[in-house]
Amino acid sequence: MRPDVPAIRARGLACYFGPQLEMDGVNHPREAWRTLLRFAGLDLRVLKDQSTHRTSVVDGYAVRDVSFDIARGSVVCLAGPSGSGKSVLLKLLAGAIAPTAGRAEIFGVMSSLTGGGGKVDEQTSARESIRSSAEYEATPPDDRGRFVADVVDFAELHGFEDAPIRTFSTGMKLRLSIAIVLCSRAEILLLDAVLAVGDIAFQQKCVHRVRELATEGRTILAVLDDEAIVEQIATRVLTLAAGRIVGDTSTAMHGRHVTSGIAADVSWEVLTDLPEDEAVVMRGLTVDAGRDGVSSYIDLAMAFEARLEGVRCRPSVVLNRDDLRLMRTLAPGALAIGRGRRVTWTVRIPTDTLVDGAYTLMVNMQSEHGDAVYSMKAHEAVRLHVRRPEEKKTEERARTAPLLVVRFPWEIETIEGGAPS
Amino acid sequence: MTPTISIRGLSKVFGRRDATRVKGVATDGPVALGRFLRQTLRRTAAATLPERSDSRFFWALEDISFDVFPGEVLGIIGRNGAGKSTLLKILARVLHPTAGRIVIRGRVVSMLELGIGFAPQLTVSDNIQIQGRLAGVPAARIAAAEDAILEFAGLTACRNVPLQECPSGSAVHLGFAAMVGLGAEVVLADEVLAVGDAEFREACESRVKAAGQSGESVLFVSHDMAAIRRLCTRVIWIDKGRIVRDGATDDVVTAYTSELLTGRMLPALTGTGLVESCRLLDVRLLDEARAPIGAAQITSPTYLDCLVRVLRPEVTAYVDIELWREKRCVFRQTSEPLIAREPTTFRVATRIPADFLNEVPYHARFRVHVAHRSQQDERVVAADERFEFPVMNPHPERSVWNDWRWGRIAVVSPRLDWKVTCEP
Repeated sequence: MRPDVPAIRARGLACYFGPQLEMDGVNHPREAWRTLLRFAGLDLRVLKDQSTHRTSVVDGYAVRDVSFDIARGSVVCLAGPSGSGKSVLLKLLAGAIAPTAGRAEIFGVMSSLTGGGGKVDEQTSARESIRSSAEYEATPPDDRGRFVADVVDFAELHGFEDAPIRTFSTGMKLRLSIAIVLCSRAEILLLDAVLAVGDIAFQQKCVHRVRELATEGRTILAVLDDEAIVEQIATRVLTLAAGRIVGDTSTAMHGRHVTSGIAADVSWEVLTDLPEDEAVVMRGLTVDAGRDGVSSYIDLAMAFEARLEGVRCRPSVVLNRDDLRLMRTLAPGALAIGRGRRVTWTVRIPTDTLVDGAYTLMVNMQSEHGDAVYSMKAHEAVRLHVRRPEEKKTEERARTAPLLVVRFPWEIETIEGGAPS
Repeated sequence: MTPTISIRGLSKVFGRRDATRVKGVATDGPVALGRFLRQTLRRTAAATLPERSDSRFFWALEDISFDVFPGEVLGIIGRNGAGKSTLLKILARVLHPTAGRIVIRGRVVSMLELGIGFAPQLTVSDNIQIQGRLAGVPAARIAAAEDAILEFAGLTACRNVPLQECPSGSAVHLGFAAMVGLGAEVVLADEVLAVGDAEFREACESRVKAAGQSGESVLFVSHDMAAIRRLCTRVIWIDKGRIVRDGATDDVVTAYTSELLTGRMLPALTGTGLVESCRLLDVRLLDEARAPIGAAQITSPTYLDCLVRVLRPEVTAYVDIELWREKRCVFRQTSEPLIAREPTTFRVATRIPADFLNEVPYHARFRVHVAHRSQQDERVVAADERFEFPVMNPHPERSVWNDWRWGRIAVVSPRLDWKVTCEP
């Protein structure tokens, strides 16, 4: 295999589901009746009728125009809110569903664990399940015995090898499914949200194994919701929203990000009257946000020109909401600049953590020259409007509404079960 | 042996704030006058105590009595809100007891909140003088102890530097060094050893041990059972303002941890409503290693953690964890549903990443919502608890605030991506 060939290549990948009926809640007889009518084209009021808001028709693509290359030996995580198409994309790559348009190419032996039930058959035993897996088939005959032993060992199923899987707990089944993938010889591994299950010790074991596999040059593509695990293993994160890739970051960046994964509609006005003082002149101020203003961040670029030789400059940005200083970010360190030189600082501000409302960005340049300290402030350098139509505002909610939307990882475990005697 | 501290019948009652009451002279005046008259006319404290059943008052401590002898390291444990910190604050004379009698033989050094009471614009050496004089130590003795204090705090080089220009963890280190360096018969420590800084924690622990051996008495409040086991010679377990158990460290700690997980000792739930189907056993702040701490650190992840016991199979419980800064909610997260076939205790935590919080105090608030599984829309709040925690920055050079000497006001200060490009 030539090293310049990627492990996975996707070009214009799309998956069209056609008009989909989304029903919230149970099939109420009335709902079902109307649904049938709707499909028969007899009741067009359904969409307008407020009383039937539970039914809606989504005409759409689960994945649309997705192209990317994934290099060998990388651990790529797919991120994004639920319904953004992560799992469908994974299934397309795994070959579980056929794409409507586009090409997906996999260069190497692949093993995948996608969607719900896992890789095991309820009626068979653990050993039979392992033997009937594609991963077992792909293992050279001499190594098959060791493969089975590895899987049992990794899944911590000693003593249960021949027990029927229907007697297993959910955790055991999942551990078995994960172990089959993680112990296989495949060069490319596709995993869907599975590392997030199991206890912390098992999670850590999986994380450790994934890292090991990556150093062996194998490629892992995973859908993960747990930010903490993403931070630990990912070398690259692809963020999806509404079936498209909206973010592609290497994790040196991603790990630092505080993100909720929900893009907001952001618009802005930039100050044109740029400030100056004895030490520096502000030469440029621009805001850039991915595509069409709908993205999870804005890039704020600030250009400064030094007026003094060797002035040490360090900008910071304060995000204000009304008169509350909500967020402050400092450039990592001061930089000495020659006279007449121009330097541009760019900071990425996560707008997807902001709630609906108006914000202002204050740019502050703190510069030092000898003993003199200069502080230049551009109040309201940028006015930012964040719109989140989905938020319902009521009087009571507005009072206690959080200032930020964040999705920090959860840790939930059972530590004491059973009735006290 | 004469006890260093003896406490008899100590009670502390707080008035609950009445939300509907309009504040002002017209309403507060008569109340204050009434209280003054009651207290002056009837001299005995007991006479001024409100009825136990009066819901306008909250009994933080109820009839506490114990003695502490020289050389004893006494651990005080209990759930959040049990009254541990109130007890220490009364001993440190920050709060007045409502009733009871306390005799303390010796000088008290209190480490309730480290780094408090320093003047940032004064030099390190001036700050030591001030701390010492406030504690009643003669000037000559402070001067003699100064070198040792500076060395212990690792600030020998910063003797004549204003405190605000020292690394921001300095105030914490200096506070502890000054407290112990000046010598005292009684040391009160409230979870301060747990700022997450391993080196400093070790120094503090060895100092506490040495204090116990040299005949000083130490009162040590902590949620960290491992630290309690390591340090304490005796433990008192307080719950709802009363002493539950007083005895050898191992016995009390074992009894406490098993009770903590089952909530057996809490008053029996008699009703059959939703609220009775679930309870919040404890709320805590944990560090990266999931050990309880009293203060978060900017440079490492922190967990907001709680123990929830779900008692009935037909209900679903959700935990809302919120972070508050003053009167604003910073963020709110709602957990996955908790469902249990038989009574089960869940540990539910959310992880705040490193480099997110600012160096200011926050509140963590935990609310447990319960709903019948068939009627998910009708949720009831079963429990609502909160605690305040400070955020420290003992390693400023590793934090986003490295070398920053100017304003720091902000609700949060996350580490974001900065890029620099220089034009030729």
